[in-house]
Amino acid sequence: MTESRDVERYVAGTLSQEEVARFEEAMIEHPELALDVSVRRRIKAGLSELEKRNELEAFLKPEGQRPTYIRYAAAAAVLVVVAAGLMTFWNREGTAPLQALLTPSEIGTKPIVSSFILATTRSSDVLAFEVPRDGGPIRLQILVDDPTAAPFTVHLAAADSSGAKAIRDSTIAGITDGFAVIYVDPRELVSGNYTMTLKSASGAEQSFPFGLQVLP
Amino acid sequence: MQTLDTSFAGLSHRICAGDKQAEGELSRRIAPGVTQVLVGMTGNFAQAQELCQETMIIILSRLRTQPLDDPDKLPAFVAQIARNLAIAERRKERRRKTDVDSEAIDDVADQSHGQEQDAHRESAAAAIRTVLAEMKSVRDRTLLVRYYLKDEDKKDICRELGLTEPSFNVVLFRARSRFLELLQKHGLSGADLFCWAILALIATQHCWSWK
Repeated sequence: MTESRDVERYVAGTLSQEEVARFEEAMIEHPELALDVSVRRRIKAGLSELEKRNELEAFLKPEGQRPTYIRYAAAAAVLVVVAAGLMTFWNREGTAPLQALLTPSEIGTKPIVSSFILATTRSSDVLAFEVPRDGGPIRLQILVDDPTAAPFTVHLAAADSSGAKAIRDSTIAGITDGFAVIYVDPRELVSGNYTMTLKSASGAEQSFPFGLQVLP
Repeated sequence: MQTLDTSFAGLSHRICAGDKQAEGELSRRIAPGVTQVLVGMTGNFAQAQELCQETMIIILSRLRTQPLDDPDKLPAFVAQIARNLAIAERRKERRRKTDVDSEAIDDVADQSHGQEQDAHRESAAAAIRTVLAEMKSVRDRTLLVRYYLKDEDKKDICRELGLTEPSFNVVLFRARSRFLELLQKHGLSGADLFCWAILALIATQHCWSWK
Protein backbone atom coordinates (compact mmCIF):
# COMPACT_ATOMS: atom_id res chain seq x y z
CA MET A 1 0.00 0.00 0.00
CA THR A 2 1.22 3.48 -0.77
CA GLU A 3 2.67 5.40 2.14
CA SER A 4 1.73 8.93 3.17
CA ARG A 5 5.31 9.91 2.26
CA ASP A 6 4.56 8.96 -1.36
CA VAL A 7 1.50 11.24 -1.35
CA GLU A 8 3.65 14.11 -0.08
CA ARG A 9 6.29 13.46 -2.72
CA TYR A 10 3.72 13.08 -5.50
CA VAL A 11 2.13 16.44 -4.68
CA ALA A 12 5.57 18.04 -4.31
CA GLY A 13 6.54 16.57 -7.72
CA THR A 14 9.64 14.80 -6.43
CA LEU A 15 8.78 11.21 -7.46
CA SER A 16 10.68 9.66 -10.37
CA GLN A 17 8.78 8.96 -13.61
CA GLU A 18 8.38 5.26 -12.74
CA GLU A 19 7.25 6.11 -9.22
CA VAL A 20 4.69 8.58 -10.62
CA ALA A 21 3.27 5.89 -12.91
CA ARG A 22 3.00 3.41 -10.04
CA PHE A 23 1.48 6.00 -7.73
CA GLU A 24 -1.11 7.10 -10.29
CA GLU A 25 -2.20 3.50 -10.85
CA ALA A 26 -2.55 3.10 -7.08
CA MET A 27 -4.58 6.32 -6.99
CA ILE A 28 -6.98 4.99 -9.65
CA GLU A 29 -7.35 1.76 -7.71
CA HIS A 30 -7.76 3.45 -4.32
CA PRO A 31 -10.04 6.53 -4.50
CA GLU A 32 -9.19 7.50 -0.91
CA LEU A 33 -5.60 8.10 -2.05
CA ALA A 34 -6.84 10.37 -4.85
CA LEU A 35 -9.02 12.25 -2.38
CA ASP A 36 -6.05 12.82 -0.08
CA VAL A 37 -4.09 14.22 -3.04
CA SER A 38 -7.06 16.40 -3.99
CA VAL A 39 -7.26 18.00 -0.54
CA ARG A 40 -3.50 18.61 -0.39
CA ARG A 41 -3.57 20.22 -3.82
CA ARG A 42 -6.48 22.47 -2.88
CA ILE A 43 -4.76 23.61 0.32
CA LYS A 44 -1.57 24.22 -1.64
CA ALA A 45 -3.48 26.16 -4.32
CA GLY A 46 -5.16 28.30 -1.64
CA LEU A 47 -1.89 29.04 0.16
CA SER A 48 -0.13 29.79 -3.09
CA GLU A 49 -2.88 32.24 -4.01
CA LEU A 50 -2.51 34.00 -0.63
CA GLU A 51 1.26 34.14 -1.13
CA LYS A 52 0.77 35.69 -4.56
CA ARG A 53 -1.42 38.39 -3.02
CA ASN A 54 1.14 39.00 -0.22
CA GLU A 55 -1.40 37.97 2.40
CA LEU A 56 0.60 35.12 3.93
CA GLU A 57 3.22 37.24 5.62
CA ALA A 58 0.71 38.79 8.03
CA PHE A 59 -0.33 35.36 9.28
CA LEU A 60 3.25 34.39 10.07
CA LYS A 61 4.08 37.44 12.16
CA PRO A 62 4.48 37.00 15.94
CA GLU A 63 1.39 37.39 18.11
CA GLY A 64 2.12 41.00 19.13
CA GLN A 65 1.76 42.08 15.53
CA ARG A 66 -1.59 40.37 14.93
CA PRO A 67 -4.61 42.54 14.10
CA THR A 68 -6.23 44.34 17.04
CA TYR A 69 -9.58 42.51 16.79
CA ILE A 70 -7.87 39.21 17.65
CA ARG A 71 -6.43 40.77 20.81
CA TYR A 72 -9.90 42.06 21.78
CA ALA A 73 -11.35 38.59 21.19
CA ALA A 74 -8.59 37.06 23.32
CA ALA A 75 -9.25 39.59 26.11
CA ALA A 76 -12.97 38.81 26.00
CA ALA A 77 -12.25 35.08 26.17
CA VAL A 78 -10.01 35.60 29.21
CA LEU A 79 -12.75 37.64 30.93
CA VAL A 80 -15.29 34.88 30.30
CA VAL A 81 -12.92 32.27 31.72
CA VAL A 82 -12.17 34.43 34.78
CA ALA A 83 -15.90 35.05 35.37
CA ALA A 84 -16.66 31.36 35.02
CA GLY A 85 -13.80 30.56 37.39
CA LEU A 86 -15.06 33.02 40.02
CA MET A 87 -18.59 31.63 39.81
CA THR A 88 -17.26 28.10 40.22
CA PHE A 89 -15.19 29.24 43.19
CA TRP A 90 -18.20 30.84 44.92
CA ASN A 91 -20.35 27.80 44.32
CA ARG A 92 -17.74 25.56 45.91
CA GLU A 93 -17.44 27.45 49.18
CA GLY A 94 -18.14 25.30 52.19
CA THR A 95 -17.62 21.94 50.49
CA ALA A 96 -14.49 19.82 50.64
CA PRO A 97 -13.13 19.26 47.12
CA LEU A 98 -13.08 15.74 45.71
CA GLN A 99 -9.77 14.16 44.91
CA ALA A 100 -10.87 12.81 41.53
CA LEU A 101 -7.72 13.85 39.66
CA LEU A 102 -4.72 11.65 40.27
CA THR A 103 -1.11 11.92 39.12
CA PRO A 104 0.86 8.88 37.87
CA SER A 105 2.64 8.65 41.23
CA GLU A 106 -0.70 8.65 43.07
CA ILE A 107 -1.95 5.85 40.80
CA GLY A 108 1.05 3.62 41.45
CA THR A 109 0.31 0.12 40.20
CA LYS A 110 -3.49 0.37 40.35
CA PRO A 111 -5.12 -1.19 37.25
CA ILE A 112 -6.47 1.32 34.73
CA VAL A 113 -9.96 0.59 33.43
CA SER A 114 -9.55 2.45 30.13
CA SER A 115 -7.67 5.21 28.29
CA PHE A 116 -9.06 8.10 26.30
CA ILE A 117 -7.50 10.82 24.18
CA LEU A 118 -8.60 14.42 24.67
CA ALA A 119 -7.91 16.88 21.89
CA THR A 120 -9.57 20.09 20.84
CA THR A 121 -11.20 20.14 17.39
CA ARG A 122 -13.41 22.64 15.66
CA SER A 123 -16.21 20.10 15.65
CA SER A 124 -19.23 21.00 17.76
CA ASP A 125 -19.51 17.36 18.90
CA VAL A 126 -18.37 16.86 22.48
CA LEU A 127 -16.49 13.66 23.13
CA ALA A 128 -18.30 11.40 25.62
CA PHE A 129 -16.90 8.58 27.75
CA GLU A 130 -18.73 5.78 29.52
CA VAL A 131 -16.96 4.47 32.57
CA PRO A 132 -17.96 2.03 35.32
CA ARG A 133 -18.15 3.72 38.73
CA ASP A 134 -16.12 1.09 40.56
CA GLY A 135 -13.98 -0.24 37.71
CA GLY A 136 -10.93 1.82 38.66
CA PRO A 137 -9.31 5.05 37.44
CA ILE A 138 -9.29 6.09 33.78
CA ARG A 139 -6.31 7.56 31.99
CA LEU A 140 -6.76 10.74 29.94
CA GLN A 141 -4.07 11.45 27.36
CA ILE A 142 -4.33 15.11 26.51
CA LEU A 143 -2.95 16.63 23.34
CA VAL A 144 -1.71 20.06 24.38
CA ASP A 145 -0.97 22.90 21.98
CA ASP A 146 2.45 23.56 23.42
CA PRO A 147 4.15 20.57 25.10
CA THR A 148 7.11 22.75 26.08
CA ALA A 149 4.80 24.76 28.39
CA ALA A 150 4.69 21.87 30.94
CA PRO A 151 4.18 21.65 33.92
CA PHE A 152 0.45 22.32 33.92
CA THR A 153 -2.11 22.91 36.63
CA VAL A 154 -5.14 20.75 35.89
CA HIS A 155 -8.61 21.90 36.76
CA LEU A 156 -11.66 19.72 36.25
CA ALA A 157 -15.14 21.19 36.63
CA ALA A 158 -18.66 20.04 35.90
CA ALA A 159 -20.48 22.16 33.33
CA ASP A 160 -23.47 22.29 35.64
CA SER A 161 -21.76 23.07 38.93
CA SER A 162 -25.00 23.51 40.92
CA GLY A 163 -25.27 19.88 42.07
CA ALA A 164 -21.66 18.83 41.69
CA LYS A 165 -18.92 18.96 44.29
CA ALA A 166 -15.77 20.89 43.53
CA ILE A 167 -12.79 18.84 42.39
CA ARG A 168 -9.31 19.42 43.75
CA ASP A 169 -6.83 20.68 41.16
CA SER A 170 -3.86 18.52 40.23
CA THR A 171 -0.67 18.92 38.24
CA ILE A 172 0.92 17.35 35.20
CA ALA A 173 4.68 17.52 35.52
CA GLY A 174 5.76 16.52 32.01
CA ILE A 175 4.75 15.23 28.62
CA THR A 176 4.77 11.52 27.84
CA ASP A 177 4.91 10.45 24.16
CA GLY A 178 3.48 13.81 23.15
CA PHE A 179 0.61 13.68 25.63
CA ALA A 180 -0.07 15.25 29.01
CA VAL A 181 -1.38 12.37 31.13
CA ILE A 182 -3.75 12.58 34.08
CA TYR A 183 -5.91 9.96 35.79
CA VAL A 184 -9.53 10.39 36.85
CA ASP A 185 -11.15 8.45 39.65
CA PRO A 186 -14.85 8.31 38.66
CA ARG A 187 -16.19 6.90 41.96
CA GLU A 188 -17.58 10.17 43.34
CA LEU A 189 -18.26 11.92 40.07
CA VAL A 190 -21.75 12.41 38.69
CA SER A 191 -22.68 11.85 35.04
CA GLY A 192 -22.71 15.02 32.96
CA ASN A 193 -20.57 17.41 30.96
CA TYR A 194 -17.16 18.42 32.26
CA THR A 195 -14.38 20.73 31.19
CA MET A 196 -10.76 19.98 31.87
CA THR A 197 -8.53 23.05 31.83
CA LEU A 198 -4.75 22.93 31.65
CA LYS A 199 -2.88 26.02 32.72
CA SER A 200 0.83 26.52 32.18
CA ALA A 201 3.16 28.54 34.39
CA SER A 202 3.01 31.38 31.86
CA GLY A 203 -0.77 31.54 32.32
CA ALA A 204 -1.71 30.01 28.94
CA GLU A 205 -4.83 27.88 29.19
CA GLN A 206 -6.31 25.11 27.08
CA SER A 207 -9.76 23.67 27.77
CA PHE A 208 -11.15 20.28 26.83
CA PRO A 209 -14.90 19.74 27.23
CA PHE A 210 -16.16 16.16 27.43
CA GLY A 211 -19.18 14.19 28.57
CA LEU A 212 -18.88 11.58 31.30
CA GLN A 213 -21.40 8.81 31.81
CA VAL A 214 -20.67 7.02 35.07
CA LEU A 215 -22.26 3.58 34.95
CA PRO A 216 -23.41 1.99 38.21
CA MET B 1 -29.14 -13.48 -2.45
CA GLN B 2 -26.64 -13.06 -5.29
CA THR B 3 -23.48 -11.08 -4.59
CA LEU B 4 -22.17 -8.98 -7.46
CA ASP B 5 -18.49 -9.10 -8.31
CA THR B 6 -17.08 -5.61 -7.77
CA SER B 7 -13.43 -6.44 -8.51
CA PHE B 8 -11.99 -4.79 -11.63
CA ALA B 9 -12.22 -8.15 -13.42
CA GLY B 10 -15.83 -8.59 -12.32
CA LEU B 11 -16.82 -5.06 -13.28
CA SER B 12 -15.09 -5.42 -16.63
CA HIS B 13 -17.07 -8.61 -17.44
CA ARG B 14 -20.35 -7.14 -16.19
CA ILE B 15 -19.87 -4.02 -18.34
CA CYS B 16 -19.19 -6.21 -21.37
CA ALA B 17 -22.44 -8.05 -20.59
CA GLY B 18 -24.34 -4.74 -20.70
CA ASP B 19 -24.67 -4.14 -16.93
CA LYS B 20 -25.28 -0.36 -16.52
CA GLN B 21 -24.91 -0.54 -12.73
CA ALA B 22 -21.38 -1.88 -13.17
CA GLU B 23 -20.56 1.12 -15.39
CA GLY B 24 -21.68 3.46 -12.63
CA GLU B 25 -19.68 1.57 -10.01
CA LEU B 26 -16.51 1.62 -12.09
CA SER B 27 -16.88 5.32 -12.88
CA ARG B 28 -17.39 6.21 -9.22
CA ARG B 29 -14.38 4.19 -8.18
CA ILE B 30 -11.85 5.45 -10.71
CA ALA B 31 -13.02 9.04 -11.34
CA PRO B 32 -11.22 10.60 -8.31
CA GLY B 33 -7.90 9.02 -9.34
CA VAL B 34 -8.31 9.91 -13.01
CA THR B 35 -9.12 13.52 -12.11
CA GLN B 36 -5.95 13.80 -10.00
CA VAL B 37 -3.78 12.29 -12.75
CA LEU B 38 -5.18 14.95 -15.05
CA VAL B 39 -4.82 17.78 -12.52
CA GLY B 40 -1.17 16.75 -12.23
CA MET B 41 -0.70 17.01 -15.99
CA THR B 42 -2.79 20.08 -16.79
CA GLY B 43 -2.51 22.02 -13.51
CA ASN B 44 -6.13 23.00 -14.06
CA PHE B 45 -8.99 21.56 -11.96
CA ALA B 46 -11.72 22.53 -14.42
CA GLN B 47 -9.95 21.15 -17.47
CA ALA B 48 -9.07 17.98 -15.56
CA GLN B 49 -12.74 17.35 -14.79
CA GLU B 50 -13.63 17.75 -18.45
CA LEU B 51 -10.87 15.39 -19.58
CA CYS B 52 -11.92 12.92 -16.89
CA GLN B 53 -15.35 12.72 -18.55
CA GLU B 54 -13.69 12.00 -21.87
CA THR B 55 -11.52 9.30 -20.27
CA MET B 56 -14.64 7.65 -18.81
CA ILE B 57 -16.35 7.62 -22.19
CA ILE B 58 -13.36 5.95 -23.83
CA ILE B 59 -12.96 3.35 -21.06
CA LEU B 60 -16.64 2.43 -20.97
CA SER B 61 -16.91 2.26 -24.79
CA ARG B 62 -13.90 -0.09 -24.84
CA LEU B 63 -15.18 -2.32 -22.05
CA ARG B 64 -18.68 -2.50 -23.53
CA THR B 65 -17.31 -4.04 -26.71
CA GLN B 66 -14.41 -6.08 -25.41
CA PRO B 67 -13.20 -6.87 -21.87
CA LEU B 68 -9.49 -6.43 -21.11
CA ASP B 69 -7.24 -9.49 -21.48
CA ASP B 70 -5.85 -8.79 -18.03
CA PRO B 71 -8.49 -6.82 -16.05
CA ASP B 72 -6.08 -6.43 -13.12
CA LYS B 73 -4.15 -4.03 -15.35
CA LEU B 74 -7.22 -1.79 -15.67
CA PRO B 75 -5.70 0.99 -13.48
CA ALA B 76 -2.62 1.13 -15.73
CA PHE B 77 -4.81 1.15 -18.83
CA VAL B 78 -7.01 3.95 -17.44
CA ALA B 79 -4.00 6.03 -16.34
CA GLN B 80 -2.46 5.73 -19.82
CA ILE B 81 -5.68 6.86 -21.54
CA ALA B 82 -5.93 9.85 -19.20
CA ARG B 83 -2.29 10.79 -19.87
CA ASN B 84 -2.77 10.46 -23.64
CA LEU B 85 -5.80 12.73 -23.51
CA ALA B 86 -3.88 15.33 -21.52
CA ILE B 87 -0.97 15.19 -24.00
CA ALA B 88 -3.39 15.53 -26.94
CA GLU B 89 -5.01 18.52 -25.26
CA ARG B 90 -1.62 20.12 -24.71
CA ARG B 91 -0.78 19.64 -28.42
CA LYS B 92 -4.13 21.13 -29.38
CA GLU B 93 -3.43 24.19 -27.23
CA ARG B 94 0.00 24.61 -28.74
CA ARG B 95 -1.53 24.49 -32.23
CA ARG B 96 -4.16 27.05 -31.21
CA LYS B 97 -1.44 29.45 -30.11
CA THR B 98 0.23 29.27 -33.54
CA ASP B 99 -3.04 29.37 -35.51
CA VAL B 100 -3.89 33.06 -35.93
CA ASP B 101 -7.28 32.46 -37.61
CA SER B 102 -8.79 30.55 -34.74
CA GLU B 103 -7.30 32.74 -32.02
CA ALA B 104 -10.45 34.72 -31.32
CA ILE B 105 -12.64 31.63 -30.94
CA ASP B 106 -10.15 29.80 -28.76
CA ASP B 107 -9.69 32.77 -26.48
CA VAL B 108 -13.34 32.45 -25.51
CA ALA B 109 -12.90 28.76 -24.67
CA ASP B 110 -9.71 29.43 -22.72
CA GLN B 111 -11.40 32.19 -20.75
CA SER B 112 -14.19 29.89 -19.58
CA HIS B 113 -11.62 27.34 -18.36
CA GLY B 114 -9.63 30.13 -16.80
CA GLN B 115 -12.67 31.50 -15.01
CA GLU B 116 -13.50 28.11 -13.52
CA GLN B 117 -9.90 27.65 -12.50
CA ASP B 118 -9.91 31.08 -10.87
CA ALA B 119 -13.08 30.17 -8.98
CA HIS B 120 -11.42 26.97 -7.69
CA ARG B 121 -8.35 28.87 -6.54
CA GLU B 122 -10.45 31.67 -5.07
CA SER B 123 -12.59 29.31 -2.98
CA ALA B 124 -9.46 27.44 -1.80
CA ALA B 125 -7.79 30.76 -0.90
CA ALA B 126 -10.85 31.98 1.01
CA ALA B 127 -11.11 28.73 2.97
CA ILE B 128 -7.41 28.56 3.88
CA ARG B 129 -7.43 32.26 4.83
CA THR B 130 -10.17 31.52 7.38
CA VAL B 131 -8.31 28.45 8.65
CA LEU B 132 -5.14 30.50 9.19
CA ALA B 133 -7.04 33.30 10.91
CA GLU B 134 -8.64 30.83 13.30
CA MET B 135 -5.41 29.05 14.22
CA LYS B 136 -4.20 30.02 17.66
CA SER B 137 -0.44 30.04 17.27
CA VAL B 138 2.03 31.35 14.73
CA ARG B 139 3.81 28.02 15.09
CA ASP B 140 0.75 26.13 13.75
CA ARG B 141 0.31 28.56 10.87
CA THR B 142 4.00 28.27 10.04
CA LEU B 143 3.69 24.48 10.11
CA LEU B 144 0.83 24.58 7.64
CA VAL B 145 2.67 26.86 5.20
CA ARG B 146 5.94 24.96 5.41
CA TYR B 147 4.28 21.56 4.98
CA TYR B 148 1.65 22.25 2.35
CA LEU B 149 3.10 25.16 0.40
CA LYS B 150 6.85 24.74 0.71
CA ASP B 151 6.69 20.90 0.68
CA GLU B 152 9.16 20.72 3.54
CA ASP B 153 9.83 17.42 5.28
CA LYS B 154 7.59 16.60 8.23
CA LYS B 155 10.55 15.53 10.41
CA ASP B 156 12.47 18.75 9.70
CA ILE B 157 9.42 20.87 10.56
CA CYS B 158 8.82 18.93 13.80
CA ARG B 159 12.47 19.30 14.83
CA GLU B 160 12.68 23.00 14.06
CA LEU B 161 9.34 23.91 15.64
CA GLY B 162 9.85 21.64 18.67
CA LEU B 163 6.85 19.45 17.92
CA THR B 164 6.20 15.75 18.38
CA GLU B 165 4.79 13.84 15.42
CA PRO B 166 1.38 13.22 17.10
CA SER B 167 1.06 16.97 17.79
CA PHE B 168 2.04 17.73 14.21
CA ASN B 169 -0.62 15.30 12.93
CA VAL B 170 -3.30 16.84 15.11
CA VAL B 171 -2.56 20.35 13.83
CA LEU B 172 -2.85 19.05 10.26
CA PHE B 173 -6.01 17.08 11.06
CA ARG B 174 -7.74 20.11 12.54
CA ALA B 175 -6.67 22.36 9.67
CA ARG B 176 -7.79 19.89 7.00
CA SER B 177 -11.12 19.23 8.69
CA ARG B 178 -11.83 22.94 8.99
CA PHE B 179 -10.67 23.60 5.42
CA LEU B 180 -13.03 20.93 4.05
CA GLU B 181 -15.86 22.17 6.23
CA LEU B 182 -15.43 25.69 4.81
CA LEU B 183 -15.20 24.45 1.22
CA GLN B 184 -18.36 22.46 1.79
CA LYS B 185 -20.14 25.57 3.04
CA HIS B 186 -19.13 27.43 -0.10
CA GLY B 187 -20.49 24.68 -2.32
CA LEU B 188 -18.71 21.60 -3.53
CA SER B 189 -19.56 19.11 -6.24
CA GLY B 190 -21.03 15.70 -5.38
CA ALA B 191 -17.66 14.01 -5.86
CA ASP B 192 -16.02 16.51 -3.54
CA LEU B 193 -18.63 15.93 -0.86
CA PHE B 194 -18.03 12.20 -1.14
CA CYS B 195 -14.34 12.93 -0.75
CA TRP B 196 -15.01 15.07 2.32
CA ALA B 197 -17.08 12.35 3.95
CA ILE B 198 -14.43 9.67 3.41
CA LEU B 199 -11.59 11.86 4.61
CA ALA B 200 -13.52 12.99 7.66
CA LEU B 201 -14.19 9.37 8.52
CA ILE B 202 -10.56 8.35 8.07
CA ALA B 203 -9.30 11.35 10.03
CA THR B 204 -11.77 10.77 12.86
CA GLN B 205 -10.70 7.15 13.17
CA HIS B 206 -7.08 8.26 13.44
CA CYS B 207 -7.66 11.01 15.99
CA TRP B 208 -10.23 9.56 18.39
CA SER B 209 -8.76 6.21 19.19
CA TRP B 210 -10.13 4.15 22.07
CA LYS B 211 -7.56 1.92 23.66
